[in-house]
Amino acid sequence: MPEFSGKYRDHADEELLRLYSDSGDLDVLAALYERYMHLVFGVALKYLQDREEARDAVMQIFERLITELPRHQVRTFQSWLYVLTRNHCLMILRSKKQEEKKLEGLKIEYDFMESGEDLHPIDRDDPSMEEALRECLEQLKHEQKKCIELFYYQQRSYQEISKALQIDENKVKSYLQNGKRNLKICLERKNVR
Amino acid sequence: MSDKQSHRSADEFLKYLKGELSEKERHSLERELERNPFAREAMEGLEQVTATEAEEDLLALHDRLRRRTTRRKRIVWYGMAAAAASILIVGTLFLQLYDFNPSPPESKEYLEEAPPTAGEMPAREVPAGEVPEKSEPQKTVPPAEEQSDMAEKSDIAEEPVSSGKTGQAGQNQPEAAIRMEAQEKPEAKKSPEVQANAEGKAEAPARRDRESTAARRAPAAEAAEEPAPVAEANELVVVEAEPVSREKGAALARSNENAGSPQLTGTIRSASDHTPLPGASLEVEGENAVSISDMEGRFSVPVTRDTQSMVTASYAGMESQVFALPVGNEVELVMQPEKVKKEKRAVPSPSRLAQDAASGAPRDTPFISPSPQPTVGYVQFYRYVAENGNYPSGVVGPDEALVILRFTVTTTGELREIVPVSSPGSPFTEEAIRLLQEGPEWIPAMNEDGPAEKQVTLRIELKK
Repeated sequence: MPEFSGKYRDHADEELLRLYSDSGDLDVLAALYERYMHLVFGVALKYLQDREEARDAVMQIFERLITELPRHQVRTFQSWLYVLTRNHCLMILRSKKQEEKKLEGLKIEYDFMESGEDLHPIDRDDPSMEEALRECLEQLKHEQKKCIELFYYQQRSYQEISKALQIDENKVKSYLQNGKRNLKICLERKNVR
Repeated sequence: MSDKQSHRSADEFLKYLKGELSEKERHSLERELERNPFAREAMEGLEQVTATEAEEDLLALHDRLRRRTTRRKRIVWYGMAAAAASILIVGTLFLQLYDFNPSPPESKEYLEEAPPTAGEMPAREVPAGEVPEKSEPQKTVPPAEEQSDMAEKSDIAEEPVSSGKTGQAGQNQPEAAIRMEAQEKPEAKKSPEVQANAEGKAEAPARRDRESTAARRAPAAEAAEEPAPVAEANELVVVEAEPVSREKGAALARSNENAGSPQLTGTIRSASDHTPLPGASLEVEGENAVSISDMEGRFSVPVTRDTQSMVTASYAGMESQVFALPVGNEVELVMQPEKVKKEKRAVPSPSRLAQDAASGAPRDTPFISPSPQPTVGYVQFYRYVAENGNYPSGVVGPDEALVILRFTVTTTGELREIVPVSSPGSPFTEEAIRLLQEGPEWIPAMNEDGPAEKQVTLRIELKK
């Protein structure tokens, strides 16, 4: 992917944000936005299911950035951009009455990350959780346990797991999600956060 | 988690989609997908198209972004030039025809004149073809055609419509006088070149219709020939009979009978330092419409009652206030900053957002806004107007022409039914409408249930 301007490559997101709010220089904002444009586009594609509309949405969201940024204290740009992107897409969907059914079919993400707090323990790579995790893992259903072990402990890709277990890649992802949810419940019962 | 390390590039995503990554690399990116819902949802979306398509789209987007940040001021310059050129050509056709004499409020004349005028040959005979032109917004009537059809008839029919108040010696032209003269003068306007017009001005009565291109989206005025002129007369509310120079403030309040929309005018400022608040929204209780203050904090709220109206004024970061305002006076509203630093401004808690997303009705998000707004915000919008607004050429008028437009912003951000509430004349109206339509996109007002359609009243200033 081309880079708008290499000169901002080494700046952290928050630095660019500060730079932008000080200078109002759109080039700075664009350099920041470019980093996540593929994510914004991807989410827009998922919700709007149309390449052209998704492209338009990406540009509209950039415009929204310009209006909304000055109004908020944005700590983590990526999370905030995610919220903005989803809201914008949802707004577009709501205003198209006929898209009602698509909204229902969408697997709406319930997980949000904000400064790592809401990260699942297993994604946090925290050694102190090791023991509790292992214990809870033993209590999982067979498929979920297998997938979690292969993915997190043997560092396998979805593709590899899918081949190894002879199941669809989507099933792998689904076992992982469900397994993680159950792990979390188990960990909470053990009073581990 | 937004630091550079965890930020996975578009290239990596594309390689993943194309299958160009090793298993280890795949796993690494997948760990990110497990951790990061933004990345996960994005990948889901990208997987719905082919890798090549995704790559194409992303490249195109990079391009668009670059163009967007560099093109700031070159907004539709060529379109404007073309429009200006056609205005000139068509406008000069009529400039010489009409003369302007002092007279009582045009509106009155309209109503009185219309019928008798209609009686006159010209107006009546407005050919069918004429009317559609007048009302159909998007048709670009070729000058040639206009010349033939319009001839006397159209011009004259137009006359009434011309709310043209050109500040010319601060007078409004009376329909009567115009009509008469129009009748007297033969169709000299054959040659576009004929310039001469001492009266210069807002003659665009005809022009207005001719123009009818992108500029006009007159709500339905079409219909019968006769009603047409009158209908349009109603829309183009004349500012006032007195010298047009005093358009702002009180003058506006003293609008004309015909208006149907007397106004509340005033200024809104911050209590702390008395600076004007641009882009503040004022909503009259019970109406689904907002009026927006301009860069100097001035606003014009159309009200339908002559008695006291309750108006709610809001501005980001300030306590919303409800005021009781009598019509006809200039008022100064003073806004207090929000006492409590509402956390409403920050990103809502994840679980809350999740609930909201699930129920499809976000609440307390930063995106609830009582009024529609341009995507770039009002301040930028006013700057856009200041930079791109063209004072109509060859027209004599006030140094600072104020056009107040009222339009509806639909739930999808489209602009409908753009109507001038007051204007010094049709060329000004045209230009204001053009600026609005060619300007930034709009976002609808948002309430708890989602986007809401609302009417907006906006002040657009054109300076010489």
